[in-house]
Amino acid sequence: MTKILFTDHQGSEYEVDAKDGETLMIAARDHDIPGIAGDCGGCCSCATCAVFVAPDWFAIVGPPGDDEAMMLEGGMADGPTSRLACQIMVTPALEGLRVTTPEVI
Amino acid sequence: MNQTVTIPDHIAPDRVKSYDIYADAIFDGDPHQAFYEMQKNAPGVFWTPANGGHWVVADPDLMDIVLKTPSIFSNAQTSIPAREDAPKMIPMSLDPPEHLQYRRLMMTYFEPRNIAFLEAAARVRAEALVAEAKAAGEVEFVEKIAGPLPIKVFMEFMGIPLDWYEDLRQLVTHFFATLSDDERVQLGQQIVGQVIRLITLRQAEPGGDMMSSLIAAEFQGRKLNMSELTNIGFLLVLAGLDTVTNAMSFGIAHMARNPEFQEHLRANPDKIPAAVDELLRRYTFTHTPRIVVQDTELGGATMKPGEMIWNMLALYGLSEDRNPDPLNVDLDRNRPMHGAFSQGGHICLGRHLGKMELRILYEVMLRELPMFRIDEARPAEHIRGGVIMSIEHLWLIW
Repeated sequence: MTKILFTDHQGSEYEVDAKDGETLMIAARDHDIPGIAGDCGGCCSCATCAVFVAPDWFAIVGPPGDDEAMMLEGGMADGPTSRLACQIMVTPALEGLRVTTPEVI
Repeated sequence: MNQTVTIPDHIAPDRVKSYDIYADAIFDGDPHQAFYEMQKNAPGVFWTPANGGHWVVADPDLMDIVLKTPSIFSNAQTSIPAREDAPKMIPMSLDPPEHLQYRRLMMTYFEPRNIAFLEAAARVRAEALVAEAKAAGEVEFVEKIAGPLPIKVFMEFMGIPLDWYEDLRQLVTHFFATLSDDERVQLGQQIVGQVIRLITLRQAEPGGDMMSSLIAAEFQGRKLNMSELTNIGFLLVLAGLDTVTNAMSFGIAHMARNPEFQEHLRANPDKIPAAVDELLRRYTFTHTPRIVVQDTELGGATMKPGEMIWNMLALYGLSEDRNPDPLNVDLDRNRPMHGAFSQGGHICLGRHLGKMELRILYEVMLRELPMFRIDEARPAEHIRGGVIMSIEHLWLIW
């Protein structure tokens, strides 16, 4: 288990024990984190699991792949540290990771 | 049943079960009940000799594999029997990586924030159609409400002149209803003809609609060409001119047959959004075909390239594992799960729009009409099989 801290767009915080080897999207969905739908089930095809990674964590999490960057562009959470949560694998290296979820309108 | 074929050698006899996806006897009764029983009694994946011979996937765990492994189970062919000359649909006929490029382009139009402006138009239409029905004292719900409401909202959104409604609706309904694949390809070409007419119209007279926007859009540093616009338009017309209509018919038919449920929803209108999803789950009417493009094994069945697969999406929602007591419509389910919009990379782009229209329809019907029920004096509803199931007529009285 790895501790992840989600913050929603209103500032409410949710500390989650995420299973190593699962994606951050699954962890968010299992814990009903607002702003994360994960409609396509994790195949980088719907961009409903976009998050803003805390800037000091971005180098550790790493940048999005090409397809992922394309899906993020112009979407709900488009910023310099945006990622799709379905493309982030939870590992012990992410202990204490902080991400913010977007407002879903 | 048409085009029955002999069983190929690599398919074990216990994997064979006859099922005609277009005209099986189950469509004369309650197909959802029959699907539920099929899941209990048939193998999770079986082969039917009907319609050219193809696989049927009934187990949701196996459907997950099919729908999330496009390198083996491709969208390149989605007609059963397979037809090389079936018009292509973008992005539906594509696999990664092209699929994602076009999908990204199309996604923007359908995001909740970008379809929110359609809510007012949908509500005005719903109120007018329901008021007309109320004044008449009875209604054939499919023709008078479930057809025009979502289809006209979609036509305006897409930029199709509303006076094309009757012709297009008839073409699309015949496309999904027809039993001969020759005829289906011909109808597909006629719909393509209408799409080309639309593109030409919007090139000459651009508006604030989706087709005008697609014509002007930048895609991979260039404009979309005529063939891309046509293939996108063909998918939009097929997906936008029949599906929500059927969701409305199945949902309202359930309310008409179950007065206790209808009363409960009238007393608890805050549960209407839950009812939208729960009725989509209970009465999922969509299927999604795939073609096998590599030798593979699925659930113990040996599959060869070129073989078609029919995914029984209704069996996500009707699976005991995923939704306990699945035949029961229960608005307090914890995390109901369904496949009405498919699953995986090709999940329906219009799902937010469809759900919004269903919510508005249910709100307006329950607010404006007294308790409604099926008119038993009229011919009973008949269900059309095929890739998009439909209730063809639904007479309501109150």
